Amino acid sequence: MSCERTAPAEVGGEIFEIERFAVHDGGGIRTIVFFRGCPLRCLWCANPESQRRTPQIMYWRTRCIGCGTCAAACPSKALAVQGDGLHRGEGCTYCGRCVQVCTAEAQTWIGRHVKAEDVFQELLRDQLFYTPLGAASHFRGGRTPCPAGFFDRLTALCRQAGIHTAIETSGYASEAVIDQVIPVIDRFLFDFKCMSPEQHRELTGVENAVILHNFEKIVGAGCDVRVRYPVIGGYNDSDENVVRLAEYLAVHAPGCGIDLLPYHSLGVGKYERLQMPYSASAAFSPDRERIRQIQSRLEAAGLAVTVGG
Amino acid sequence: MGISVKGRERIRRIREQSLHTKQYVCVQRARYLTEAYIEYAADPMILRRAKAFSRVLEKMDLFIEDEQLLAGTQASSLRAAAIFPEYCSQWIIDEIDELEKRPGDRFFVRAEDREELLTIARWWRGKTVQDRCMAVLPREVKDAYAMSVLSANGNMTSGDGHIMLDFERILTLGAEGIIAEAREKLRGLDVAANHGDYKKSIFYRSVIAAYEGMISFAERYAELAERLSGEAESAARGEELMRIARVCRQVPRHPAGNFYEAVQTVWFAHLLSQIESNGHSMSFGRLDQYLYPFYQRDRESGALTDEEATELLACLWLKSFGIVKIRPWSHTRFSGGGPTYQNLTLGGITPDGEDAVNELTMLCLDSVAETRLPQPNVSARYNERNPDRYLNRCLEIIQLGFGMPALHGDQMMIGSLVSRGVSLRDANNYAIVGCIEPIIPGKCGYRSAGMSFTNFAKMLEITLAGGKDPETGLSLCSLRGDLTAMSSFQEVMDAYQTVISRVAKLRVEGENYIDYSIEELVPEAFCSGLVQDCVGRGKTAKEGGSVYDMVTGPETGIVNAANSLAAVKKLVFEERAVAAPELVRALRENFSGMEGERLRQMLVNRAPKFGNDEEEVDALANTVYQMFIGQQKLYPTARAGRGPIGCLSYPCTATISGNVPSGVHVGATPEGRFAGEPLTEGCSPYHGTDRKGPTAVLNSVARMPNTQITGGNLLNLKFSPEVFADQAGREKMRGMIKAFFTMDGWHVQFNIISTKTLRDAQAHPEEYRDLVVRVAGYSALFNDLEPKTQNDIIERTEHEL
Repeated sequence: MSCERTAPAEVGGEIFEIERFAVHDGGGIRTIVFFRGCPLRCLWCANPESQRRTPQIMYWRTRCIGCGTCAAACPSKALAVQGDGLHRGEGCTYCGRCVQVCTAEAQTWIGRHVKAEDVFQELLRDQLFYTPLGAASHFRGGRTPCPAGFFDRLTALCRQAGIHTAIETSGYASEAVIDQVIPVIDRFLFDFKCMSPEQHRELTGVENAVILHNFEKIVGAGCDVRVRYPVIGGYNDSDENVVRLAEYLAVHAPGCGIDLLPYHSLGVGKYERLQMPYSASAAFSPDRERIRQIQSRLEAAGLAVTVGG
Repeated sequence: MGISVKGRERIRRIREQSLHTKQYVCVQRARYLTEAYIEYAADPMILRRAKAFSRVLEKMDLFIEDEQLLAGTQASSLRAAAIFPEYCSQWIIDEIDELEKRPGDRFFVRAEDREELLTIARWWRGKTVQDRCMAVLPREVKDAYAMSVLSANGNMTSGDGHIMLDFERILTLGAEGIIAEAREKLRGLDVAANHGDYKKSIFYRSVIAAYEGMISFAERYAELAERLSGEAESAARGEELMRIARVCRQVPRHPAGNFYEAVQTVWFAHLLSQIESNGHSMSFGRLDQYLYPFYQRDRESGALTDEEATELLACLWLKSFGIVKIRPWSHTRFSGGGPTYQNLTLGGITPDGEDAVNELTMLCLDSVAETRLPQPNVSARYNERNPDRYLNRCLEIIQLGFGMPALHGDQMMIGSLVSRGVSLRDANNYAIVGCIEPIIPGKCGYRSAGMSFTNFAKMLEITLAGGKDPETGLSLCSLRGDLTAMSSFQEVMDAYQTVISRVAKLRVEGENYIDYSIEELVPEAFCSGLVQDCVGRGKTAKEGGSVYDMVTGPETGIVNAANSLAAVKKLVFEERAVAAPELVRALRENFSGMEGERLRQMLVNRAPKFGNDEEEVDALANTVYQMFIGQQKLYPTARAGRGPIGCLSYPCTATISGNVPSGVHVGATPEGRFAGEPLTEGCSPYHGTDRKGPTAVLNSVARMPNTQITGGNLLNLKFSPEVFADQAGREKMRGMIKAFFTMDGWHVQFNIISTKTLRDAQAHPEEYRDLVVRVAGYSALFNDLEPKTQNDIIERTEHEL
């Protein structure tokens, strides 16, 4: 990986992962750049490492060989052996010594500061695989864009190289930011978590007025937009929400494509690894029958529905 | 799709019957062969052997399976294994009572056959190919085999195999036509004027004897079918048996007149080559091409429907599944399921360079989807001229999860074959033999592939140990010292080159001794009748009768060597993160203890690994292979100067399942691999070390010296079934495959991850470090997930299949 951590002074962005051969996000074979610093706090978030902008350290119990080198090396004595694993105490200064000494990669940095050029080089590696389908790179999560210089540079490089770009976004940003993004992105994957403003706040920490406004603006600008609806059993899968979503889209984005993304619990382990609390323990994956019901309701409103992205 | 409901039922029932048959050892081939060997002891070997072959065909008990539409089996009962005592016999004496106690590939010996088998095996003592090889091979070569830097055991115990007959020749001439050719040649000889014609005269008489045996074999089936027809349970079956009788009266004696006769002819020729000799990887070649004229004619006249053609093809594959090989346990335990590598090649282009995909290609794909068996081994050539519907159908069948078809890129291989001296028309016509090795149908000699295994990981182990094998204590060559005596990475590479050069030479030396032993003791008249230009030249392929002579080993463990060298370079010489003596000790102690494990983790995680699209280690894999290729070029084959074009050996990474046994005698390696663990499969990344997905793997593989690997470069990729499940997913895969072949990729085979694989991954996480779970907006390594989540994924996967 060419994206080494760089000094904060350099113009760069905070990302936490570059995933190649992504085939469920935005059409074709893509490379996804996962940004950090998401302003939303969705209770079911499968990528909690996307939320903060400051570096975090993940502890991987499954990789740990139990040698205790990290605890011994920690200058703040912040690591304690607990049960069959390690606990990171309050005293951790994120000096990274534990990551450095762990040969098993059981302690890893989350988040790195990268230069746009380095990320672009990584995207270019799969260029041959993008072209047959006109598919491309894809930016996901995080605050959009963060910071502006990094995002502009990266998208400009992609455009020059003829690489199709897609962004998956919560849509929660200032109008100025949206204006800036519209001309440089080829496809928007726009998340709809919940239609009720009050419930949206409860579930994600923010209200959705600005999100809906931005959606309308992007659609109004004639952009290629796909809606993504994470269907979280027990949270946002009510008939009422589905009906409101269908009605809204029928008016504001008639015939729009929509991906239903049924809840999965694959992200739960990350909370433990980051020592963060998981708040959606009651969430469940709606069964096939329920997904089919939702699908047919949305289709009845004239939307083109796929399940799973 | 291509088969009728009734046909599908027939295929299902025959398939079930084949899969649930108790496997017996059949003594008959060994009995009649040995009997004839004694009777014709005065004859020259090739004639003695041809007569023995005919004797087997005339005496063996015959049967026709219920509902089968084709006749001909290799032994006296379904899925029974014939014995080939002329290749090796001692193992029979040693293992006869163990065969039914094997944990897998179990065989039963009937009480009445046991003593007879032992008597036969004792008669063969000292007369077999293996005995001859052991008698003539020089000490140094035997030592190299003992050290496992080379392995040629299969060559000595089973013979060559790896042949693709000229099926067009038997289809258009018939056995009588081949006999007539041989007779005419015989008439033209003058042993008085040319004493060299003596050998030719024996050769032609042998060919005649072998093909007369073939005709009488088919006649016997015709008689049997007629008799069974009278006893048939239903009138419909009675008619089917009468049809079989009519077909067997006609072919292979005469040229095939219709599609049914053509399929039966192909089966007889293919079967007989496997009764004649014991090697595996006898392959069907481009069946969709050479059977197409028969198919087309019958379709036009209305004599054949697509349903009937598909059913007949499925019957042929079920017959091929009936070919069973029994081998000494020392081999069997490494190749579970008794693979026979009967390859079928589809698609690609014609000799003239036109799109070769036709309706029969599609029916072949449909028919293997019906049988879903390990045989035949299906290879789909991909050429940019081939239509999308063809690649789509291939992908649909891949999604069924039985690992087939494997895909092969024309663009790279045709150019590579031409660079070896193959004509463009012949190169366009290439087909796959055995696992992934491209050869020219009907024009290449025996064992055009699969000679000695050359073990790059073992050679590196010996290099780092100073030229001596730590396991056996044998010395391969003298080096200045072990790793601790080397002061730079360049010195490591220089020492490795010394070892590689030594082994490359020993390899060919051993192959020549073995080749001459096979040439002398087991010459094959039947096969020679169907390999160009043996009849023309009056000699067997082994004596130089074939048009082309190009052989390959496989080279195993190149990726292990590259990964290990990358670790030594970075961690010992560049970063000095570990001192040489410390590494040498850890390797010797197989990373025991917590410190050993910490070091191993460092080797695994902090040094680059092939398959992650990292230029430096990928380049190292290329360099390592080139160090061998440069030496390999120096030595011609044992046919040099005897007629064929080429007489050279070139690289090949088709390790088949040999990556497992190849690892058994290799100690711990600096890539972090424990002693005895398997080596890498072909040029695939070492299991669990590719962490960036398939596109990164393909980019790494594209950095291998692909155009020089004319013998085939094997790549296995794992995918979850959902990637192939819908049309959109298959389109993405199609795009990826096309891109890979554009960048000079050669072969790719897809393993669809089943729930069984996932459970195995739970039990053996170390081997599945590369297993990626992908859903929208999220991906994770399977290993990193908690057992509960893993179980969820297993359930989901079950659902999707």
